[in-house]
Amino acid sequence: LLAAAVACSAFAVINLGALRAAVMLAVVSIITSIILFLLGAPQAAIAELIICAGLATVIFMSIIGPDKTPVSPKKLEALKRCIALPLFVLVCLVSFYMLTFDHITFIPALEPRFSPDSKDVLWHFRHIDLIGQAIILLTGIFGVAVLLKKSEGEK
Amino acid sequence: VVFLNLPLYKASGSAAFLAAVLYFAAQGIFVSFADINFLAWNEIFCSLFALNLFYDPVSKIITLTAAIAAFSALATAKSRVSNDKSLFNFSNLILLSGAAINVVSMTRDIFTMYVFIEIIAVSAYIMIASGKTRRALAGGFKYIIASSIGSALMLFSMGVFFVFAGDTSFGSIAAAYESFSGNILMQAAVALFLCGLFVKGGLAPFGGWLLGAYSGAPAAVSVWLSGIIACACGIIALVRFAQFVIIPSGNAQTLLLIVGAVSIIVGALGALSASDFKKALNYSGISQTGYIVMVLGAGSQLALIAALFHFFNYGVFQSLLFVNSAAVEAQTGTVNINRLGGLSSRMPVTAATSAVGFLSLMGAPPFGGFFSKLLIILALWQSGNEFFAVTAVIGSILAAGYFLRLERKVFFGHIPKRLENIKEAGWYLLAPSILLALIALGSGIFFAFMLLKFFAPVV
Repeated sequence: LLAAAVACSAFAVINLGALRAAVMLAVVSIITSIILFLLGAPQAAIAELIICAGLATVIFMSIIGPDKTPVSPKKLEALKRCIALPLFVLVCLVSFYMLTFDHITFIPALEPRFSPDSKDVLWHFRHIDLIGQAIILLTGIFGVAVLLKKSEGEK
Repeated sequence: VVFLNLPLYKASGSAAFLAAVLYFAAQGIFVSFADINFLAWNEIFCSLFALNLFYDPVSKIITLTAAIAAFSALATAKSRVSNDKSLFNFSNLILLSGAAINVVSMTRDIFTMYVFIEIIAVSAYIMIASGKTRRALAGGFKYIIASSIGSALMLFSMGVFFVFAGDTSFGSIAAAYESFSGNILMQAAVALFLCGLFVKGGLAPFGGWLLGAYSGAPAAVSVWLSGIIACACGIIALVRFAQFVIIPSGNAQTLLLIVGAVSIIVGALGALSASDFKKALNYSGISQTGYIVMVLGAGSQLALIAALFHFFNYGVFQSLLFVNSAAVEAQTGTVNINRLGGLSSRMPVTAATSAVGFLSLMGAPPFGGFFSKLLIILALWQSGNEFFAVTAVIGSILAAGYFLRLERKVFFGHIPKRLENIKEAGWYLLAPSILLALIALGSGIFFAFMLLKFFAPVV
């Protein structure tokens, strides 16, 4: 799943069309939420699914609209985007190899200080972060509107 | 922001501008004059919404500096932005990032800090790219990439801190850092966190992207970004981190000292060779933030006071010089110093205030910059870092070099024929530059008062 998520995000970066990149981003979010679910964090998984795969994609699509980016006939343009790809693949392979290391020697066994219930953590200790996330979302929407929406008379 | 985006849209450029001016005026007045009331309000507000925010003397200095920089940026925007919609966008973004800076200055939790630094970064790259020219979009894109790398480093470190400390408050992280100081993962996490902040703050080995990002930005955005945002993203967080977490350790301090010293020298050399007024100021900004980082490496209480005093002075003179560069750009249409000259006879106020800004920057008495640099050198010497104290002095000499070069090329010498008929800039650019020059002078002359009222309560 992790490999699939990495591959999809690489595809989103290389892709020429903005709309297809947005869809790929949504796929990455869906895979991430599956990973979170398998790791035993269902609430985080649902939040990821709703906000990143759902809400963000809807915002992107509503602003981008039907994709009119012309697919460049030049092969060169497409190739240019893949220049860093071998390096990226190499870094990924090294990272995946490192996942097999034994980390126990570095990390001490500590008791979690908070109750593991994420609802509790969110609503009793993390008010300000929730507000912060909401503001980031608003700022992002504002930014998308400022940068991507065409004003009158603009090419 | 939400309110101003509602049906009022048609008339809202000036409305948003007014809202931003009122907000920052209130912030400046509350911070400077009404400590008691503000503290009481803060407590009520925080208990009402269960927010973990603490308003202390460090927050006071940061919010005051932010209010001053915001005023200059708003005045510049009013003068330089003709389009109502652009003014609307800029005012909203400055409000958003101003609010986020306030939270960053008040929080004692590393994750909260991260969330609000991200708000600052997002609004910064919207501001940079909002010009929608090729250069502006490229600058915004560079900012996104660099900022994301910084965020990734910080996020990784925060994960490690959480594993070791059990939560993300500065207190727990400091305790964990002390008890696991031999652990290689913990050391790596602290180093990577600092590197993340260096990337965000645009310090020398990590900061080349900043120049491209800022020189493409509109004038008002440059004032705000260079005066406070660059500092807000990296340096404020660094001050907090140094204050609460890394004081007793050795390795992290060495990292701060070295990165600070490299930034001072590289930034000053860049400013010496730049042929663009704004670019020279950006390089000089890297050099001056280097001072703040370097003195934090000294780790004493005097070092914290010196860092915050220099932060305040930096906010003042950097905003002042960028307002001056906006005035020059507005009147002559260029910031290329080879095409300028002799402006002091045509723009006397701009020339005089820029001299004040540069004198404060290079650390000449009786301006504020002199006292902050003096404190920095004292703090470094006291903590046994004589080599770095000497670096600070060398940085000041280089600053004198680029100050003289820029003044000679822009304000003195022979005036080109093309510029013979230019006039002084409008009041929206003159008023903030006069005000900032007075603050730069006042913070030096009333140094004892400033130290007692604002900076001594820090420790």
